[in-house]
Amino acid sequence: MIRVFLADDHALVLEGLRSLIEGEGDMLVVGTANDGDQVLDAVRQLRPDVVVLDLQMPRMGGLACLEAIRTAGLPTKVLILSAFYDGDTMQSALEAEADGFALKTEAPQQTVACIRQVYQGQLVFPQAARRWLRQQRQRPGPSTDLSEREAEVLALVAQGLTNTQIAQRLQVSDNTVKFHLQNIYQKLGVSNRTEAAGIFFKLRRDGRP
Amino acid sequence: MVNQQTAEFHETSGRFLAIAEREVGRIILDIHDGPVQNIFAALSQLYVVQRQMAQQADEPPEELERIRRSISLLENALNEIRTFMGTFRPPEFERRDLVSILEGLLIQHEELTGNPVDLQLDGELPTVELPVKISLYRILQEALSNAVRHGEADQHTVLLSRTTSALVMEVADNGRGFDVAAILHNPMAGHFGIDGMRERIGILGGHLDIASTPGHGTRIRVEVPVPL
Repeated sequence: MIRVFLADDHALVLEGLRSLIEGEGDMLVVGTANDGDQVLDAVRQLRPDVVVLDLQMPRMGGLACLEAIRTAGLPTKVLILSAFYDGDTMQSALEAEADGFALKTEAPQQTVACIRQVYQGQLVFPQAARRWLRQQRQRPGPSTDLSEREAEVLALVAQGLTNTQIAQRLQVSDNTVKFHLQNIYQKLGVSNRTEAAGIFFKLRRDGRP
Repeated sequence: MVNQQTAEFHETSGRFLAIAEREVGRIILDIHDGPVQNIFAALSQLYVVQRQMAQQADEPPEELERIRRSISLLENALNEIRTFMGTFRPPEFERRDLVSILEGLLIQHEELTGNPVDLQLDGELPTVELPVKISLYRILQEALSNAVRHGEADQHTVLLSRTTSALVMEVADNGRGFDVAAILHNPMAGHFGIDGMRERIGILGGHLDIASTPGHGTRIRVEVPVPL
């Protein structure tokens, strides 16, 4: 039996997918959630083989959930369910280490097929997206010669903390944080904190934190 | 004085580009939250009914055919929405750098058309402002789409480089090419979106050149000023 957990904020979608999956015979829906913030605890408890995460949920989206599952080191496979078929969404899902990508704008049976494929260990993404990931891994990344303190600040920026929050966390002044940030921007060749956060996630994905 | 006014004009125009992208993003989200969820859910239920009907009856009832037709109609509707959303949904312009944004577009183009795109980066590229990212993204999207729709191209090359004062993007294809002068002087031709591309780059103080001859593909070169 493939044990599946579903997270989607649309009750009708959950109901539809559940009926479809349970009709398969070799799959079982062990739980559902209608927002991302319920997922991590549920996955810890229920230990599903595959978690299906809707990309857009009100309080916590699919990618943030996925990050939390990966950070917690839970061994579950994750399939991102999205209505968006654009490159940016696929890049984000790959960067966050999703195992697969299924579309809400494709027949729902396709989603069931994707659940089976990620369960079997396949990386279920379109070919062009998989090639992009390989190129990313080969390409020399941005400079990583950040000082220890700068790396610390960057990690907090990536978590979405403000300068004041970072200053409190590190017990330094706001100005010191600003000073570190300027150096970080310069070293990474970026112009704002969102771009810097993007690089942080890329570095972490490449195993060069 | 004139320079300052020009700079202010470019800055204001650039802000409008960002606002327009945000609006498009909002419309796409509305479509996502409404019709897509409902059609997806309806299809899931119809599959279940279809499967049960096919299993239970020795001879498939007439209703089964109606269900099949409904499924097919709904699948077509989802297909159309997918193409629409893929084309118009803005990427995360603020989070990603220019190269990453353009790479996303190329993944999408390759997936939709099957055409490989060769992206070449020449040297260190400058960090660019939001309006420049938006313009280059939309221009590349238009150029690739024109190459396929009008030129029947099946291969593309994109080259990014910099001069002392500008960022340069060149987009070339192996399509059937066209007579540039004839197209640009024909008011009925619609200019294949060329006017739109020119306007996008013009408001940033840059310019766009097109070189093409029938039978020899098309090359578009865009230059946008960047700080030294």
